[in-house]
Amino acid sequence: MLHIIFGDCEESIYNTSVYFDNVYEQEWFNTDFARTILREVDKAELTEDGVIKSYCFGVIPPEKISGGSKTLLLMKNCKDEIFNASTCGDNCARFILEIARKSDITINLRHIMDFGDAEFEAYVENSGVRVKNNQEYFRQAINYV
Amino acid sequence: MQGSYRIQVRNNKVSFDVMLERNITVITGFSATGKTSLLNLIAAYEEYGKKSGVKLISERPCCAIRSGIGWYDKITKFQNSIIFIEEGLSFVHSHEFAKLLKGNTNYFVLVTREGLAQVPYSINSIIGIKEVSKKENCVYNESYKYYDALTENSLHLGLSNVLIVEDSCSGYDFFSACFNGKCISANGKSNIVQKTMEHINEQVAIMADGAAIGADVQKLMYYKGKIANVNVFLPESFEWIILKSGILRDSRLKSILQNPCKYIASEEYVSWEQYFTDLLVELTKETSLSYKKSHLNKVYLLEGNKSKILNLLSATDSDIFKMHLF
Repeated sequence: MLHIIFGDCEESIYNTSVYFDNVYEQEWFNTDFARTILREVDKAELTEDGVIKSYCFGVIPPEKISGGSKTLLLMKNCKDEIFNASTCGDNCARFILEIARKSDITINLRHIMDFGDAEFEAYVENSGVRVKNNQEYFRQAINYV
Repeated sequence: MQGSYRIQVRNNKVSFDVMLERNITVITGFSATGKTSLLNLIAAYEEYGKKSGVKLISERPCCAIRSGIGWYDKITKFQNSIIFIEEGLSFVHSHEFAKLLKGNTNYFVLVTREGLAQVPYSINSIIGIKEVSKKENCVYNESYKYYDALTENSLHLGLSNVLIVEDSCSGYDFFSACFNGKCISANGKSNIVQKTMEHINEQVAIMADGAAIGADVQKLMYYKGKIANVNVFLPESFEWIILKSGILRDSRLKSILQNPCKYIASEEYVSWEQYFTDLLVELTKETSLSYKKSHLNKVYLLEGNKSKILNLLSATDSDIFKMHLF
């Protein structure tokens, strides 16, 4: 289940890029999830020996993947932390929902992320309201961001 | 500092071509479009110059702020420069930062998806970055206006029966006198969406000042795109509409409106909205058209003047608009 805290949140990790650079593990990249987000978000390929080949820069270290992919990998691998999901563009939204379908995660949103047109479920921590679609999500978000 | 600036920066793998027209620009959009790479190039050139391997073409010095430590001191060291601020630095939301923008001679480029509530930036200065080509292993990127379709003459009132106007002063006075349906003041740009939601089952049109709505435009566009089919019109400001309408005859006006950035200095005006108000006040001073923002001079409601303003608004949708005004 996706839990959302809208607006300012002291507990959240705001600069996810810096945090990622200091905590990531190489094994995070040995997954289909990492392979998919790098391909879909960063247009980068992850080779079998764990090397990241960027469309633009060639071989890059994990520190040079996009801020959005860093945050997604943090959400996937550090589920007890709350990350600033406004470091993710809307092209990351479906991957956030994918993580949340398999486990509980809490994200901090400081803008209104577009989760697409399909129904989705989220629990808004600020109000204690469960939302099931764009309308309900927006009605909650607008009170806080 | 005033004017528009083109910044071309590249290394042997990636190239950016960014146009800035105002003192505050916000870069937003999808992840992995190159926002951080752009900042990396600017920072490398700032530190090492040509010896960084980065090529930079810019009429003004460029610098990058990539840490929240010492940001105030760094910004105040620069004058007439272009300052890029990395994503993830929370000071951009502070009152101190908003205060620093006032009277500042620098242009600022901020990377963020969050609305900066204390900063009056324009819908037209929110930009994205997109790839335009790849040649000889170098990816070429350009900036583009993120909300380009919503500028100037695009008020489509259609069958609207509710018009929500941002302000409660002259603009509201004008539209409440002209619009045949319900005209409602939102009493500020941050209330527009809430006010619009009170009329979710009606046909709503929204009129707000594009020059300063940057912080709220994302939620407005989400509402428009996902929740209800509202018509949104975001000209620079109500005063800009009057200036553009042809009511005033001033030899300078045409060139000012064609290229406002040449005339609006960042140290005098944080937002163009205030400039257009001051310009209108100045040009009409001690004339029958004397303009005050607080309440509308009734002369603007005289048939000839009113028609000029409405004709400007209805440039792309005249028949429908006229049916629903008066």
